[in-house]
Amino acid sequence: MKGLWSPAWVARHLLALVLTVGCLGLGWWQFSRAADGNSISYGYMFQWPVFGGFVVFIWLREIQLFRRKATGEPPAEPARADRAPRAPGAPVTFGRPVRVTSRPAHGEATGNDPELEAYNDYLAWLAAHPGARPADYPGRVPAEPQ
Amino acid sequence: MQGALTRYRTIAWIVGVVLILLVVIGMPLKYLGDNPVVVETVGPFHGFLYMVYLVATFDLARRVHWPFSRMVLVMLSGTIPFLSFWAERKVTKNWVPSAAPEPALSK
Repeated sequence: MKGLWSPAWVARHLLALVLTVGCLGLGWWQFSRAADGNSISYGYMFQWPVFGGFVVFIWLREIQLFRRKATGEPPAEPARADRAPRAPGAPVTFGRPVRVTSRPAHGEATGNDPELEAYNDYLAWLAAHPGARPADYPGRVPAEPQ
Repeated sequence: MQGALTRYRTIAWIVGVVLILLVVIGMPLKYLGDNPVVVETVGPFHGFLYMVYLVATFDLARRVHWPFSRMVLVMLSGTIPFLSFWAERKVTKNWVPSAAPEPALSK
């Protein structure tokens, strides 16, 4: 893991170390204040180590992410097409469940099932209009031969 | 993603307001007026709220794949009175994709 000792990473290690030690030190300081009779410091005494623990958590996670990236492992949450950034104002294109009438399979593969063709036309229209909703489907274009 | 953004914005606003209470009202009362009651009640409360803020910011940063430095910057901006509101606006407008508050579900 040579990459973890690049200047940027050394800076991050130092930052994590300083923040953690600082948080623990502040917790200790609050403990001493609490021992001196400042009762509100008991609350802060417990809060500061939690912040320090959070720093350690972030630090460990960054290292973990870096190692995953270095070994070429796929990220835990692969980017999906529908999670891509959406242009402002563009319609929502999340995959919605679409109710279609289904029929028991018989007699298809002949290529002249009108219902199947209508459905394929519907699917093709949806594919050609990625921003559209199923309810926007105008129906079969009449000019097209049946 | 929108849920994480909403959580972040909510807690950022709360932490910002409580911080201002603490700095603008509590600290003058304690150090000028010698009346520490606001600091004593709001202070620890703000500490716990800031923890929630950190977690919400971390969650948002993870979901929108911020660079590490930006996450740290946003986390630290929550500790600065008044600047926290500007940071929240900046995050919502520029640093989160498709941050339209209401998606155009139907026309």
